[in-house]
Amino acid sequence: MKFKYRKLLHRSFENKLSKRQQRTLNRELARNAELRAEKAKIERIREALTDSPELSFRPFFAERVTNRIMNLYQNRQEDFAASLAFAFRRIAIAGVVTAVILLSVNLFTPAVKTVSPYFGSKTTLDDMLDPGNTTSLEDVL
Amino acid sequence: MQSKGNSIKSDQDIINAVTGGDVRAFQELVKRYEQRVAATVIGMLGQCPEAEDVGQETFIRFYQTLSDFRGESSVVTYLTRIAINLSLNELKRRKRQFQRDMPLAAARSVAYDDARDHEPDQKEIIQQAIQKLSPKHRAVIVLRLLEGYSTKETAQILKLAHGTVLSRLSRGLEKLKELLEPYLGKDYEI
Repeated sequence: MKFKYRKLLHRSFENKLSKRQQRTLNRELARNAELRAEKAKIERIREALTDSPELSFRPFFAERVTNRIMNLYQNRQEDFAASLAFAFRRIAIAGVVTAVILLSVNLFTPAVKTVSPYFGSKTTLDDMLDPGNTTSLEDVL
Repeated sequence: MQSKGNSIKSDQDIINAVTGGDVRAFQELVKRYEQRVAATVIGMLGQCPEAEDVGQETFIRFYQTLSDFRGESSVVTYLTRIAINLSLNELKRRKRQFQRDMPLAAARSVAYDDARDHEPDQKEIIQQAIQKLSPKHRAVIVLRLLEGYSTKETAQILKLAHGTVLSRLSRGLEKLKELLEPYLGKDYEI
């Protein structure tokens, strides 16, 4: 059977034939038994497919979907809160450890009684009390 | 789907309620379209546990993109497009897994055939035949013939040229004819 007629036959089911093509197909169908048999088989397959029973999911599908969505968003919020708490916990622990170290160094080092040297300032409490160190109005002017 | 009366909410009303924070309203949308999504997914994958997973995932993806939904295409078209894409992904995954675990998959297939204690009915025969088509032909057959979309709509959903849909449809039917030949020849009630 010619491919051309088979193609026309398939297209005819989708109403995509011009009048001329339809005439050609009808003429061929009238004289070609094989093409007629082919048409009958295609018709049966198409009918079987379009009339096949409805396919469906198990009962309560919609409820399962909604629960999954709600769980998904609840878990996402919980995850966010947990990761936020985790991040803050690390920062807090690092801060406390640093403060304890600085305090220990400060207390157990006899010459240093302040944390200021660690921040670049060499000024001690004694220096602050030294009158010579105080800035007068004249110095500023 | 448009509202048929005051008691039935339109899709857009439901979408507005959901985007406004009412997750429960989404359930109504799922109930409205689960049959269509089931037809697409089960048509593509066959009746299997993965079909339900893909069905659920289809609605979850839709939910996640609701704020982007402009209503340019209908909800059912949008859902069908997601369902087809996820089904094609699942088929790719299966193919990869089958290549990796070929002996195991073959053994499972034999076990499944042995476990079946009845002659397959029309629904099963058609489904089995569809499962033997290539994914690209299967998608067209499922949308055009199982779901009843027009060739134009099928082309839009699959983002294909109209002529491509027509040629895939005829090739798919040719293949189905070969697969169902034994039943057609024996005057089987198909």
